[in-house]
Formats: sequence, structure tokens, C-alpha cells
Amino acid sequence: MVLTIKKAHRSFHNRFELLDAILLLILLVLAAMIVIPFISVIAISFATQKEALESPLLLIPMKPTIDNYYRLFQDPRILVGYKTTFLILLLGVPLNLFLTTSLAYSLTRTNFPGAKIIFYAILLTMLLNGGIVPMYLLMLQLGLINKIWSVIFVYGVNTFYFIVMRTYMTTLPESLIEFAKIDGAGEWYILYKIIIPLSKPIIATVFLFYSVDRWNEWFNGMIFLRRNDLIPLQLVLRNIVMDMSIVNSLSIAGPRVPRFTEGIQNATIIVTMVPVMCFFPFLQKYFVKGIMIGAVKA
Amino acid sequence: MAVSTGGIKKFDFKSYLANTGKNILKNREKYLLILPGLAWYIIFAYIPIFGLSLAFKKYIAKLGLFRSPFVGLYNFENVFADPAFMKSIITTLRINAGRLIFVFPFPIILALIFNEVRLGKSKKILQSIFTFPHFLSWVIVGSIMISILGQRGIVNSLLNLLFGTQPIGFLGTPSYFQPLVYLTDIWKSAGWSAIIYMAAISGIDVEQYQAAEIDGATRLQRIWYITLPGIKSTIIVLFILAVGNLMSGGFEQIFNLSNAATIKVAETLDMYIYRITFRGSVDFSFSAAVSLFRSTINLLLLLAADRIIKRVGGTGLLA
Amino acid sequence: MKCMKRFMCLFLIAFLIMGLAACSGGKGTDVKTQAPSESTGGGGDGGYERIVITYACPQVVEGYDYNTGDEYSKFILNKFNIEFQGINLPWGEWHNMLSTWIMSQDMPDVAIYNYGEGTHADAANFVRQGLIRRLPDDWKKRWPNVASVYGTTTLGPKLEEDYGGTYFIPRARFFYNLPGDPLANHWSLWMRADWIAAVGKEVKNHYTIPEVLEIAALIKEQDPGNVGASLVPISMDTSNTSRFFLEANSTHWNTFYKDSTGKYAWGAMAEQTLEGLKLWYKAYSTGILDQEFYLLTHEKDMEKFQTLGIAGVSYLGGQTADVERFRIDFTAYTGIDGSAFNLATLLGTDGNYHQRDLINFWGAVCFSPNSDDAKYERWMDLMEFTSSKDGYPGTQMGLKGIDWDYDENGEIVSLVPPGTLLAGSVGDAKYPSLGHVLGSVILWDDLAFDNPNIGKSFREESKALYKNRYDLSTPETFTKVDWKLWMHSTENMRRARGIDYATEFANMVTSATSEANLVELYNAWISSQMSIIQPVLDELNK
Repeated sequence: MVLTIKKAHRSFHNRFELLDAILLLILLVLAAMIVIPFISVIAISFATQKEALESPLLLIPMKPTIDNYYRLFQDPRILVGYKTTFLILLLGVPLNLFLTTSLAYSLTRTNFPGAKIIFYAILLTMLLNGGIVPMYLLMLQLGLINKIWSVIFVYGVNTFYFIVMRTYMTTLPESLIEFAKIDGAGEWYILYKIIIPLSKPIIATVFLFYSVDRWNEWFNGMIFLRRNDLIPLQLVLRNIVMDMSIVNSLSIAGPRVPRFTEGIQNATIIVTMVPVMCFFPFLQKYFVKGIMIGAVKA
Repeated sequence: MAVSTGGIKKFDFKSYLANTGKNILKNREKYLLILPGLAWYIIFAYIPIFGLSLAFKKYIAKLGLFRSPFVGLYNFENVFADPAFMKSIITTLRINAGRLIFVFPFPIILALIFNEVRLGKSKKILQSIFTFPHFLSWVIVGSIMISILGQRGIVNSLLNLLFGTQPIGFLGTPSYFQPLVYLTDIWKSAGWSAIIYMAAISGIDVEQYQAAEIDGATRLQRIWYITLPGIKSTIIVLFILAVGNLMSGGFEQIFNLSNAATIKVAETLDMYIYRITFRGSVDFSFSAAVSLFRSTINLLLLLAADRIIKRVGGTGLLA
Repeated sequence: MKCMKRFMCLFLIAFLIMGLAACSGGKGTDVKTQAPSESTGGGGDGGYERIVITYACPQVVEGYDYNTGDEYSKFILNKFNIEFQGINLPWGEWHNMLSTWIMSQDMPDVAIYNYGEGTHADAANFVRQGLIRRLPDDWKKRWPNVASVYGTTTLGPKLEEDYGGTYFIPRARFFYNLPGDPLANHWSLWMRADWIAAVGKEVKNHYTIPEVLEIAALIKEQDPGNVGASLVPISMDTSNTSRFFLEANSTHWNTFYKDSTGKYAWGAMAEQTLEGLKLWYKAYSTGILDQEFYLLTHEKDMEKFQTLGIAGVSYLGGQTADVERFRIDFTAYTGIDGSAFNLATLLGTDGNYHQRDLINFWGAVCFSPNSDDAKYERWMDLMEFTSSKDGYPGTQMGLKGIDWDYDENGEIVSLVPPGTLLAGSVGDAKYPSLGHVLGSVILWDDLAFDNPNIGKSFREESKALYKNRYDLSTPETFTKVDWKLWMHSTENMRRARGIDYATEFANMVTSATSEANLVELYNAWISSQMSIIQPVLDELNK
């Protein structure tokens, strides 16, 4: 028996219908509504405080400046931020994927003892949260405080992603798996050679989500890490912005140099987004239809 | 395993055990697959959950979680004593229920449009554009909203230009708050949430479309009879999960979009907690009590949604 | 697929390498110790042993190695042979984070606790549970300089009395230059002197609320600066507006107080509060106050005055250290001469200055009960130095003999060219470590009066502002701390503290359709809050 999975070709008619025009129009209008404010965000990040304050919606700064970006990057913490976050990505995302995929696949059919209980137990964790103190104490007990592993392990599986992945896998034809089993394949083999290739869209999606989550996380790093050489990028950016928007009322550290908080804030957004948007196209190709033509050839 | 004896089913314990044992053996590899994930959940999800027991205790640091004294429902009395608490619960439910109706369908529709429209290479670029707002923090979205809807903003300038109207305080009018929440939520999250649906659509068997075309189905019919049913399970699951989140979420958005003028319609549970704890006390027992209360409601809502959907003919969470 | 495979392979290899790297980086590599420390054993003054101290406060510059960063930090840390490990507490999470660590019995050796009315209950809880170190009973004899500064903070001795021992050492805002007791706040009116003159009013350094409103109305009418449609006569955000109309008129607007009969009452119900609220409504409905004041965040109200120059009046901080700087920035942004920038004290409708004691402290030093005695003792030695006459100017001005010194008259003189930025951020300033981090017990505010780097006329102006707050008030309007109230920390009180007065009053103003309607809303709100307020009043009046 041979299992054949081939990519499909779209062999639809090629006429450009009225429906296409309407849909395109809708998309373009929506896209404009997104792009225009976004241009404003970029514009402010390249503008001076005065200019940004003067115009209600700045789109093209007359006197552009890279001062905001300069202030961001000259901060010594930035390098630490990048290093730490890359470390978190490298260690964390594979862990996330491994745990999520193995759990999702194994719980696709819940017809074996304990499966239902385990599934509901996992679901329950999405609703119940013990708060930060028990987690901190746990990490303390495990000796992980101040080590990168605390941040890695505290976010192991996102139950939501787990459920979504599992749901996708339930749509895969059981016959494929049955045939593989008859052929004598073990669970790990099935997972690796059959399920994963067929689940590329959802794995790509979850991979993207986990990566972005890891890229954006800052809270865990703040609580569990106290070292100056381990600060997640988002936390660095957040602190840089915070340092600038301290309210007068605190009457603290002397010379208050006025800073353009909004400009820096916008710059941090752009700095955060750019790497992700470079990454995104690689995953987009997995959202192509026709990943599978259910072809089980005997 | 039931053994029927003249119509009466008797529960045969011995063979039940034997069967279970056989089942476990048969599926042993599956258990191995589950093990890593399960271990993680037990250590890092379930052990901290015991922290919720703080809701019934008075936390004494040196005694730790387990030996801190039990105080019964004392913490809950504190929680419920403030009338603003109940009000915030209702506000939360009102706003989030509306989200289910107004915001939830959009990513689906967007994914369908993306699937249907034919653009070749530029489709990818367009898809990427739609994910941009996801990366903006609500703080920035708040500022953008002021630029657009503020009294000196774009919309008011336009209205003044076209109709000569006086500036309208959109952002300071309580009745506009809820629509604002939904519109900005759609704007910010539809593109990103659509990704899941697009992935689900990718998994639909292409042959079904080909067969339908041969049968003479129009595009709209294809969407209705193939695409939508194809992602039905995904939609249902996401819907149920959204219901299970009805009491949580949205803090950053509400915090940044509300202001002194609209606060009365905007104080959700998270906002209430923020207000109470902002000026000082870090009472872990109080937070645990609120958390437990919130989680219980979410759980009940989730189970109810699951059951209702199963009644109506869907597959529920556990397919 | 191949591409993906290759990608994954690279990832895995990188993963393994990073994993190994992460494993080897343990506690030992916390701080860059590449350069051998100057004196490993028996170094610094008085033959100290090298010691590692972890320290947490919001102003620690993350990623900055204080041990090697600049000459000042090197000087002071070497003097006491300390290897310093600074931990930054993000501003918004200061209390939460530190409390989490304290509760988990995992606090750093030294930490600055955000002591205040709202956080007192937690502090008391920590003390009760033995989570903070108790200083020995003879500490005042051993560290007399610290003790004398501590004595002026009012909070320190009061806590000591309450706790039966010293657990917290509050840091004093003022010591040598204490303006008075109760301590006046620096919040001041920012006004356009040129516009005031143009509408025919007197430019002075104190105004009552009605006087300001009158000036603002004239500014709106005449627009002396020719600003046009974007003119904002009074530019303030929600918080500052409540200070302007309510706090400046009714001392206890957002708390409880003992009235003339000796019973506790609720300040929000006081006559002056409603009076201020009505003025607020009048200003808002006649367009004198920024119509979207409730949308202003992040000091946007200040920007309208200082950066854009389109506001006539604002109500903002006026700390001595910045008084000159405000003018410099104003001129830099707007091109208008600094003399157009007038600072003034705001008085209530009764002509008096209203304020509750600011209390002479900000943040309190506390120590971990679990670290070695040697650590807290060393830090106390450091603080002893920084509170001495020789040591304390250095915390803001750098090295004695190089950047500053005392002249024959005992006044501080600057030894660096004017305009040198001594304190500030990395890359800008000569000594980025300057600030409160390295053991200050006396904070910025004090030295600002003596700092030669700030123009003398500005320092005099500031002194005058502080003085008129004392001259133009009575003990009833400018009150000392009521410790019973300040420290009252029952469940009911905690709930009562959760009321966001500024927002509630702002909401009334923006929702009201007329003054009569405003009073209705006000009365309705008062009654609705009684279920939270009455229990507290009962407790206080027991």
C-alpha cells in the first residue's frame, strides 16, 4: 500500500468575476484603514516632538529625525535585550512546539483510558490561575530563579493553541492512521512522518504564535530574572519608555530632560515588528490550500 | 463491560479492569507521547493552581501556602462588600458578550475573503498588512484614536469642512464607548485571528471543490457548503473558548480607551481590580478570591456553551 | 521542504549551543567581573573585606555596571569595598515586585520600599511576619549622621514607635534646607507672564483660584498671543485639574479628617469641595478649561504649555532642581524668552494655601533579614558617609575636589565649566550613577537650594514660593499628619482608599448639564459611597 499525498493545482475557471471585484474593493478599503494610521505611527517615530504635537495625524514629517531610534539603540540595554530574547526563542519555541504537538496528536482520539480526564484537566488550566506568588515560590523551590530556564519553562504549552491544533488534527482522516498502524508503524513514526506533514498549516500557525509570544514576553523575565545580562527585549523597551514618562509628581532624580515619549514608544513598536514581519512570509506559504488531497492509494 | 442478562445490564467489574488493562497496554506508546506535555502541566500549571487555596486562607509568608491558616469565606465577603464589584461584573459580561456577536465573526469573514479573492503574489502582502495592527500596543491605539476621533482630530475636521459642525466629543461620550471598543478590537485583531481560520481552510480537501464545480455549484454555494462546514469544528472550538473567557480579558484595551468621562460604562472587573489595588495593598488572598470567583464563572459558561452546542448538533470541544 | 529541514537543523544546532551556554551561566556571572577588583581583601577605608551587596530600587540603571561605570561610582564603591549588584524595579511594578520577593522571603540585601499611606498596611504586615530586618537598638549611636537625617523624616520615628523598633529608614527630601514642618509640596501654577500683563493683570507669585479663572477668561477672550483656535487657556489633565480646583480649595477633599468638633468626617462632603467642584464646572462649561482635559495623558498638558506655547495656565511640578531647566526648555521649544514663564502658588477661594503634609520622605530603605549582618552594616556605613557634609553633595555633584568643593564660607562651589551635565543618562552625563541609588539618605530636593549649577535667582524664586505657602496658610488649611488616620489599615479603609476621587469628580463635571444638575450628581454620588465610607467613619470615631 502506498500513501500518496500530493499538492493540488487550482484548476478553477480564470474569469474575473464581479464577486472578485467587490471582495478586492472591500479588502483595499480595509487595508487603507489599517495602513493610514500605521503610517502615522511610523511618521511619529521619525518625527520631533514639536511636529508630532502640532498636527493631529502626522503622516509625513517635514523635519524627519532618527533621534528616537538613536536614543533607543544607544541604550546599552538593547543589546542585552536582543541576546536574551533570541536565547528565549531558541530554547523556548522548540520546547513549546514539541510539547504542544505531541499532546495534540496523542489526544486526537480520546478512546483510551484516562484520555478524557487528561483532556479536561488540561482544559481546566486555561480557566484557573494561581497567581504569581505560587509560581514564584515554585521556581524558587526548583532553583530556577534568576536562570533563563525559569522563563523557558513557565510558558510550556498554551492551552488555547493546544486545543486549536488538536481540533485541526481531528479533521485528518482516520483511515490514514489506521493503514499506517496495520503496516506496523509506531505512534512516534505516525506523528513524525504522517501527521506533521499533513498539519503544516496549523503547525506553521502555532509556530508563528509561539514565536511572537516569546518575542513579546516581558512580565516573566521581570519577575524571575534579576540579572543585568538577562533582560528580555520587550522589557528593555518597556523600561526605556517608562523611564521617560515619569510623572513630575514623584519629584525625583534631578535634571528632568524632557523626552519625546510618544516618539520613542512608536519607535519601539517598529523595532519590535520588523523582525516578525521579515519572518512572516516564510510561514505564509504554508497557508496555501490543498495541502492534502486525501489520497489513500491501496 | 456490561453483561446483559435478560435485559438488565450488570456492571462486570472484573472484565472492566481486564479490558482497561489491555487498553492501556495497547496504547502504551500514546501514553509516552502524552508524558512530556502532561508532566509540564502537572508541575507548572497544577502545582501553582494550589495557590488559589489562598482564597480561603490568610497568607502568612513564613508558614507558606500550605500551612497558612484557613479563614473560610472571609476573603469573599470582602470581595462582595463593594457594590462597584457587582457592577463591574455586569459591565464585563455586557461588553464581552457583545464582542462575541460583533467581533467574533470578522476574522472568519476575512479568512473567507482571503481564500476566495484571486490576487496572486500580492495576496501575501495584503495578508501581512492585515496583521500589522496586532503589533500595536493599546497605548498607541489610544493615541491614534485621539488623533482620529478627538475634538481636534481628523473626523471632526472633516465634519467641520463638509457640514460646518461643531466638534463632537466622540471619545468623551459614554454611549459611543461600546461601539468604539468593538471597532478597535476588530481593527486590531481581525487580521491576526484570521490566520487560524486560514490555516483551517488550507486543510480542506481540495477534491471537494473540484467535485462541486463539476456539479455546477456557484462560488457562493461553494463557500457555504464546503468551506464553512470544513472549518466548522475550528469555529465552534474558538467560539466555546471565547465564551469561556467571557469574564476575563480586554484590560489593556479598556484602560487605554476609557477616560474620566466614560468611566462609568467602562469599569470592567479588571479595571475595578486595578483601581482597588493601584493605590497600594498587594493582598494576595484578595486577588486569589477574585481570581477563583472569575474562573468559576468562566468554567460554568464554558460548560454551558459546550453543552448547548452539542444539543444544537455541533461537535463541542471534545470532538 | 528541504529549506525547512535546513532551517530546522540550523535551529537545533543553535539551540544546543545556546542550551550549553545557558547552563554554564549560573549565579556567578551576574556582574561583569572581568577587571580584577581593586582591593579584594581588606581594602577601602578602614580595612573592609570585599562584600557583595544586592540592591533594588526603581532608579537602578539596568545594564549599567556601577562597579566600573564612572569615577563617582567607582570612588564610592571602592571606598567601602562593595561589589554592587543593582536590580531595577520598573516604576509601574515597584510595589508589586518588591512585595512578591519579600513575601517569598527572597528579597535583595537592600531595597527601597515605596512607603506611603496605601502601602503602609503591607509594610506593617511584613514587619509583623519578620520579613524585614530589625535594626539593632543602638544603631543611632553607631551611625549618627543617618540618625539625625532619619529624625527629620517624621515618618521614621513614628514607625519606630509603632513597630517597637527600626525596620525602615525613610530617605529625607530635605535636611539642611528643610522649608518647614509640615512640608510644603512644590506643585505650582505655570503661567504666561506676558499674557497676564497683556490682559492688564498683575504678575505675582500667588493667585487665588478665582483670580486665575478671571485671567484665563480674559486670555480666552483676547488671545494676547494670537494663537487662534488651538488656544487652551487652562491646560491640565484630570489629576492636575482635581488638584487645582479641589485640593487647592479643600485640604481634605479625598480623605477623612477631624473636623472642628473633634469627630472624623469625610472630606469629599466638605463645603469647600463642592465649591471647588462648581468652579470646575464653570471653567469647563465656559471653555476656559481644555475641553478634552480628560483625554490628556503622559504630561500632554505640560506639553501644551511648554512645548507648543498654546496654553496660558497649567498646574504642574515646580521642584527647585528643575526651575531653571523649565525655562531653558520653554525657550528652546517656543523661542519665547524665559521671563514669560511665571511660577506661582495657588490659593483657595479663602485666600489660604491648602495642603496636607507632604511628609519629609520619599521611599524607605529596608534590609533583608536573611543576609549577613556584615552586609547591612556596610551599607549603613555607606549611608553614614552620604549623609555627612562631606559626602552628601557628591551624590549629585560628583567628586569633591574635582567637580565641586566648599569655599571659605562653607558654600558649595562648582569646579566644572557651566553647562556640564554631571547627572543624567548614559552617554549624556559625566556620572550616570549619580542619583539616589548609591546610598542617598538625603534626596535631590535639598541640595537644589545650594547647587551652584542652578542659577541663584531661580533658587531664590523657589525659596520664595515655599515661604509664601507657610505665610499664606493656617494650621487648619495646611495640616500636619494625622498619624492615626494615615496608619489606619483595616479592610474597610482599604476599600475606601480604592475610590478614584479625581476620576469621579471629573466624571461629574463632564456629565453635568447645568450647575444644578452637577449638584444633583454630586449628592447622588456622595450617598452611593456611604456604604463604603460609613464603616470607616464608625471605626475612626469609636
